[in-house]
Amino acid sequence: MDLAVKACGCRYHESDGKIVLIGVGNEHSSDDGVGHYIAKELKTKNLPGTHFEFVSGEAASLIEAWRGKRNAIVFDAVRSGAPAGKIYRFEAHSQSVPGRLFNPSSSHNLGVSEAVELSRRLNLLPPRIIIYGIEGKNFGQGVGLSPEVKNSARDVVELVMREILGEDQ
Amino acid sequence: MNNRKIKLDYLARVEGEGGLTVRIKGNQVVDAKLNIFEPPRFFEAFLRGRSYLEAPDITARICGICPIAYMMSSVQAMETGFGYKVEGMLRALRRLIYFGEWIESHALHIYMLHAPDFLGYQDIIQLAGDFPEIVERGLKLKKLGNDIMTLLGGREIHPVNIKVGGFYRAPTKNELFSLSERLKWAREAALETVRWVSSLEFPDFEQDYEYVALRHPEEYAVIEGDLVSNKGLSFPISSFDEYIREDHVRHSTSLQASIKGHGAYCVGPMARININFNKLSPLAREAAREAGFGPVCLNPFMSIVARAIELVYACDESLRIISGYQMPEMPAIEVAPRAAICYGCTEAPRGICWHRYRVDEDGTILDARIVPPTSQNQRAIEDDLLHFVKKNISLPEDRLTWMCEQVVRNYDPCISCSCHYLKLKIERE
Repeated sequence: MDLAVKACGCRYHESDGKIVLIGVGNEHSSDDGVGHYIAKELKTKNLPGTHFEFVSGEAASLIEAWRGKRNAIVFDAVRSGAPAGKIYRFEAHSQSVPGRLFNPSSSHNLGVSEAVELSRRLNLLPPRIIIYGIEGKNFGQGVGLSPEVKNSARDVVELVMREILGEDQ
Repeated sequence: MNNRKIKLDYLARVEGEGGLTVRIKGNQVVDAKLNIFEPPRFFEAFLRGRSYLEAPDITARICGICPIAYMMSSVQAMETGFGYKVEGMLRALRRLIYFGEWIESHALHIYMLHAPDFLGYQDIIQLAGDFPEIVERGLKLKKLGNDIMTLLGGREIHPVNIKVGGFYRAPTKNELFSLSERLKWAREAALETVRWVSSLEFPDFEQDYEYVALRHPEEYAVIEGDLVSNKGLSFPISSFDEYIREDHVRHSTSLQASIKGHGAYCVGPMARININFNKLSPLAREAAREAGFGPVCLNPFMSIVARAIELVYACDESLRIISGYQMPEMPAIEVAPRAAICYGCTEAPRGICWHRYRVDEDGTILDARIVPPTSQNQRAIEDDLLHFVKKNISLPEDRLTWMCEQVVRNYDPCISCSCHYLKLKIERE
């Protein structure tokens, strides 16, 4: 697993309320569906205190998805030119998210990094919000992930499960 | 002679890839060009050999902001060409999902793309630092537009529930009623938006525009009508080619449209309100009057007010549609193809989106032509730049460059539609 940023090892506790897990992207654009894939896989694990949202990545809908939540984990595809499957992890509550990685659905629209910065200005950012980005390879029309992307998606599922269950410490 | 060159390579807060060059020789502006270098995307060629049933879903991919416009123009074209008319609740639902797109697109442009220009901010994130309540209002309005699209279209970007003849599934009464309270809030928020944007400072700049919009005898035209200009033209959409020509120009990968014998023309919210002011709802008309807008407005910088007025109308009309809604027995009428030339034209957020298809007796598309709003506004944008720089040539370079960007953004250009980013370059020789 090629982790750009190592997991911090923070635990989630019941006292933090529900964790919203947000899958971002479009399942019908191949690897752009990796965010939804990860969130769906995690949904099958029946993790305690979790709640799921599936969005396109448009900022207004994203902000609404994490509004009022104390914990959020976001999964989205990345298109940076790095090797397919590379995993990025950002603790967005304390660091900015590079806009060049997360492309909005349209150049006219605002995407994940803009939604994070806008929420920070508006005091709408959850106190703890983790953004996972997985480098995609094929963003063409169609359903299904490239093998490298699927492998990394499974790694992220494991990583997040450990993080939520507090087994990463 | 004082020859100068101002270059701005990237114009943000517009859709698509392109550039802009203004050349100034001494104190004379010699040229203003909108350089669109977005690669042409050949959608018309993709459509050849495909079934008429695929036209809405293929053309929706032209734009992530206004897919409904493409879907509606294509379904209208097929239905009209084959001799059908979608009426009653299905027609009302089409207007409703279109208003969802207007709300989403107008809120985006007003709050996130255009307002920062007037208030001196680089972007909405900076704006949010000083005006959090205003930005939150914009986000909530936009989200409501997204949700109308999702409820009626299946998803907010590139909806999948629209078909030739109607919808794959019609919403239940309760599903639509669930939007009512938020729409009532949105109508008030839209009125607040009109008050807010009308208080902005607008440059003193007017042009003798030829505005073109659809006109319908009974309603503020969105999904149907004849084409009308404020300079006396009136023709059915099937006569588009008799009045409008499209030309290749060296500096743009998008065709440029003009009215034969007249020249540049404008489409979009300014054109619609100038032509159809009396068809706005009383509430929207009143909001316009209070804002000091219309019935005639020739200042392109006030397009932000025009969009806000249309936000009021879209919310008001959506509430009217929902209050009278009865779920139709069938979500679509049956449509059978025939050999035909099919014309469709509807009012995208940025202006008329015209389609023409030649279809054989089996419903296979033989050829297609699509004329999106931004390609129609290109010449007007270039004319505005030329005249604006002429009038303001003594402005300091950075201020002039900032204002030129604003001149372009007055039109909310969507270069993705016209062929996809915009860059601005002012050259002074």
